[in-house]
Amino acid sequence: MAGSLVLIDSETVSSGVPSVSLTGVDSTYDVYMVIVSNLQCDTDVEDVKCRVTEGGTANSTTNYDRASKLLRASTSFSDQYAADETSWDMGTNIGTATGESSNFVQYIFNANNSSEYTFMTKEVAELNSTPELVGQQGGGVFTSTSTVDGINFFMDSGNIDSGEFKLYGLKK
Amino acid sequence: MSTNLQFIKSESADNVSSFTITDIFSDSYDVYQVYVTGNGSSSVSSLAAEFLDSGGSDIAQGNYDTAIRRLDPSSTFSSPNTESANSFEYVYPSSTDNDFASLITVYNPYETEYTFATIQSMSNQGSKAIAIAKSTTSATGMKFYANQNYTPIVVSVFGVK
Repeated sequence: MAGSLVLIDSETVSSGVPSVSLTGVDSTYDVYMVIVSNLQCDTDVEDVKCRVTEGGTANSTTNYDRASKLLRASTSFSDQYAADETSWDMGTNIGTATGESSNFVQYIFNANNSSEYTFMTKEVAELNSTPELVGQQGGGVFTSTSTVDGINFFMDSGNIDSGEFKLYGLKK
Repeated sequence: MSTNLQFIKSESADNVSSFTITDIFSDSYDVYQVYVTGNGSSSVSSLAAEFLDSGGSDIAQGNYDTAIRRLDPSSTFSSPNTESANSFEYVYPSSTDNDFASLITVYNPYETEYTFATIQSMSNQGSKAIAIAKSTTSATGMKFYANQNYTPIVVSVFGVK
């Protein structure tokens, strides 16, 4: 079937874990999609981070650049950007109160191509610790021509308490 | 190999001031993609939507928050936001008789969690937006409002398995 979305890996978190990895990125697809819903954490006011994995291990080198518009329901928007970081930012100041969670879609490009950098786009909607509806529209680049085989999510501090994490390939 | 983007329903209408599509959210999926196309007819500014329970009632009356980045090809971008509203904007055809298209990704509508949405849309202006329905009531449908009439509106819903 042309244009299919193919589930490759999924993880359901129902109690605290330090990180979640989705694996199975290879040369089968050029573009992968990650969907995360209802991500909740156990430590107040922490950011959601992610790294690419190589050989199943998260890469923590300073090769992560990002730029996004921070959309906010109760105040003015701002630009968020950084270069040469050790991870991408996928959520801002997540809280632990009822209803506070992060939800996002992320597209990943060229991940398994060792001749190209790995790019990603993101759209995030979350209820932060204020609580305020906050989101990100933007993207990032992993400035290394390595062979990426997955993605790893974690909190700045503390554990991921719950969430549905799914990795899909976009079938050509 | 079967696809994990699974078609649920597509419906359309013409010359209606609002449009309701039911039985699209269930416990079968956590995340949905709702594709909306059409024309908002004359004198339209923003077009709004809301989530409905199985009885057809709005699940979050007065409890929708939104944050929108409007991308205007002929002017400086704007960033409207609202809290405690009765609906959320999903596209912004800012003047008369503009066609539009919108992709609304909906998270957790059927679960006993708040319902979130990320939105990408285009008319004579584009927008990137987020919305939340601060309600833990299960949503099973959506209602789309026009300032005047939709001529037409087409809504297609997919579950992301």
